[in-house]
Amino acid sequence: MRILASINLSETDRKALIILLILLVLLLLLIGLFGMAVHGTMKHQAKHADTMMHDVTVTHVVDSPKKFRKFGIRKNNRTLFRASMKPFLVALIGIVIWIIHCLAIGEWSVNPWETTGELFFRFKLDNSLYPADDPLWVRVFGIQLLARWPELVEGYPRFELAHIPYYLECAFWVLAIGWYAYVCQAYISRHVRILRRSQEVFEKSLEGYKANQSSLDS
Amino acid sequence: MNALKKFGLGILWAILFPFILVGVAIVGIFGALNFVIEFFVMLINFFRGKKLFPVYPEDQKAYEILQRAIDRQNGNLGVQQPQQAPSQPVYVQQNFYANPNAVPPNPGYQQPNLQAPGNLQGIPAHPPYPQQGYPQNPQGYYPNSEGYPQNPQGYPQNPQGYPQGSQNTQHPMPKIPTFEETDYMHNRTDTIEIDIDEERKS
Repeated sequence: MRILASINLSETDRKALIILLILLVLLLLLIGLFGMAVHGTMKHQAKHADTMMHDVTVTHVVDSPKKFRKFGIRKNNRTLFRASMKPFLVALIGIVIWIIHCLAIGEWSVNPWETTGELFFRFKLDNSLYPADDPLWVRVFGIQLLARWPELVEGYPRFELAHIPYYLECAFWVLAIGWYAYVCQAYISRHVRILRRSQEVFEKSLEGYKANQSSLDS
Repeated sequence: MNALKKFGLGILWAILFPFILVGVAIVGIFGALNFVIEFFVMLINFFRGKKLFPVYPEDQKAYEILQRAIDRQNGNLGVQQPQQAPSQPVYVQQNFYANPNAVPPNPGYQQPNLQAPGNLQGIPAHPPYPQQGYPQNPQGYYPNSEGYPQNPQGYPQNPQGYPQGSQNTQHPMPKIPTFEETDYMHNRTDTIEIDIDEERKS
């Protein structure tokens, strides 16, 4: 406490520190909410694993944890394949648009991501663009940190009609990546549920059982 | 308190996030490989004429067991179900061959009194044909391939004077129609396929 009390902070620094702390708390709160949403989604996705394995388990076609895991993983792989067909198809549409566009303009070296980036704000991230006494990046204990808020590049965001194919391609690819990430998350959820169920379903408990009180005595 | 809990979870998720991202990336790469493998399996199934995603044997077995259980619950087990005849096509063909020596399989059969339907349709029945006196059908039936006794009531037959019906009469060979004569419609054949099961249902 004495150490903390000995630190002299100006009024401005104190305000900045409070704002920083509030921002940090809000950020962690948001991450917590996001995590809870992901967890809820995964629980929902894992239900499909139960549906897949229900019939074979209740009919005792699958009668050991090993068989359960093996069959569950096989079915899960096929489900992953079927689920990933749609995002792959969306990505393929993006690729087809890109190929047709490149063939039409005769230019293959343009980076669609960079071109699509013009739709958003751009920051000056190069240290050489700032004065030496007020740099953007500083080195603290060997770690490079932002020392100030970066300045915006003039002229952005902007929209160009001729770049619409690039925007479309990137939109398709972003959609495909997001969708595929969701599909992969669902796969992980099902996989975890299958592994957990393989133990739970075949579990036998001796809780409350007494060997000397067999059913023959009663 | 709830907000604090979420805050704590936020810290946990922030720490776990890179690991989750790595996990998703690994699964993503595995998913791409799995896609290629399953795609080839699907192609092989397609060219073999099978289903693209055939039912797993385990699932099939489970389905059969469940079906049996449902049957047992419904009280159908052990009761011999009437065997339904397998669906087989019946070919209905016209027979144009008249065998003068054919004997009907059921000579005692009496054909029902089939009156001329003309009256029913508002059309006057044709007047009775005068008996020409030529020998007619002494057995009371026409020897035809179906073997049915014809004309038990003594209806006037053969008004056109076509010689038939008597053993003493010379029987000309009936004309066998050619394909062109019987094929009234170009895309039609004289063979009609009938599905027995469909017929039973209807």
